[in-house]
Amino acid sequence: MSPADSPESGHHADPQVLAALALEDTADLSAIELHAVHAHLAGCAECAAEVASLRATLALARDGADEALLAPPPGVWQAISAETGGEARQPAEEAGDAAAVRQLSRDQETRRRGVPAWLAGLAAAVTLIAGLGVGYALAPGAAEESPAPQPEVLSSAALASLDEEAADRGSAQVRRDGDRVVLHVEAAGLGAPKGIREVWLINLDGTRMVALGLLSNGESGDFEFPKRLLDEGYRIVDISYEPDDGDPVHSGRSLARGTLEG
Amino acid sequence: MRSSPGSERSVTVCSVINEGPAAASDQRSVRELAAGLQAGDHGCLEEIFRRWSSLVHTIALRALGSAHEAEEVTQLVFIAAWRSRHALVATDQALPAWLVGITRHRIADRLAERARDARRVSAVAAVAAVSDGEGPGGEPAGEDVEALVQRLVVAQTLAELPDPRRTILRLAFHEDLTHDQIAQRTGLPLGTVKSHVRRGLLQLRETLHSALAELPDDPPRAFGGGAR
Repeated sequence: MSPADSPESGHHADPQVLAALALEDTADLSAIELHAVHAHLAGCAECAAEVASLRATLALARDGADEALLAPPPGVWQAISAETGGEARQPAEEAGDAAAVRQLSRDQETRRRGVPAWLAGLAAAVTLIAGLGVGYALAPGAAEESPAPQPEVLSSAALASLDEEAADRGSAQVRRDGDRVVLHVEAAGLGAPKGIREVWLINLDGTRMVALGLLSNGESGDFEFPKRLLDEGYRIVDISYEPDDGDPVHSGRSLARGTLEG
Repeated sequence: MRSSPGSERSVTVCSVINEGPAAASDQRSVRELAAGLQAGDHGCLEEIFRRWSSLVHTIALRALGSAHEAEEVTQLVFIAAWRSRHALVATDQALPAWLVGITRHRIADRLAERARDARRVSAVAAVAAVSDGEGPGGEPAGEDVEALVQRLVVAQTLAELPDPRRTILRLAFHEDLTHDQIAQRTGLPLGTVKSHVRRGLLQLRETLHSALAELPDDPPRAFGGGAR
């Protein structure tokens, strides 16, 4: 257990004395004891390391004063229990970890799909837009149903295929509608590969992207997002083909793309 | 990884305690919990979850910076613990250290996945000919995992200590009271207070040591380096 054996072994200093040294609380030790332990430390690397390690632990304990541990939400235990309780009763346990995760968060699946894992850490706000985007995409026609205020067009992009032909694939516009900012996609001629078509905003720096949602209904849709993304350089609209494989990241197959200008 | 057939549902301490009204009653020893888990007692898994899920979740949350991923990791850790329970050695320290080890592995997986995704994104973006050609690093969004684990493990261990030791250590380490002040406040003899502080510090160090030793693929740095 402890690197410092009990003093009876005669090899190492008493752990409690080492702790006292680390705590700098040696008032109750006699001068002789103190002298002996210091003499021992001078020649015993192991005990010296023990004191250093106790000091480090003490520093960690002091640092940890403000550490608050955060319990996971209740759904987590329910999913674990479902996964492990079932296993105890029936030997079939082929359902892998992935299945368990799906069980936990079916409602979050689109979100998980939408935001690549590497990006999820950016901010809750980014995660939020994917959710909103999907919700919005699922309710097409909302824009048409509110005829009164004319949305203001903040910027627009011509979409084109990525091959050499750069064929016209429709357009996209960022519109401000009241206090909402929406990417309105009006694609055309995307082709009809079976699968899902997903709308992304790629940052001009070429290293970051966010998923806005699925083009679930034809080739047009509206995707609400925080306007600051535009200011941060997320200005390349990309429509990808996503095979239905449960992999949340961009498939690498872009059907159309264009850069938002203005 | 396979569960052994047979009497998985043998009633042991945990099943009993979970049926009782007071979940926060006398806590089972770590060794008992480990033994119960090994024996396939689902009640022990629940007790273990109750005691360490906050630690696991908080480590994951802070390391990954994503609430959603932290929940997933927490879930995977306890499912993995259940499935590989036969590999657990029931000692006083092993269980939390083991859980922390699984947590760190899962976090490492996630960070590696992010790095992969980042490379993939740059490949996607490169087609647009706007890439600056720089390789994106899949940099972790959260804190340094190593330092984080150390701090949180110590915080958790301290919170788990039985009283009066927990209170004494809190007063000494968090409120910076002198041992005399603690003796006055708790009504305990000065010698008893000193002994608790020393033994408590040794105890924290012991748990920390085994928690850090639990990741064989990635040997921990000498944590003396973190000393002030």
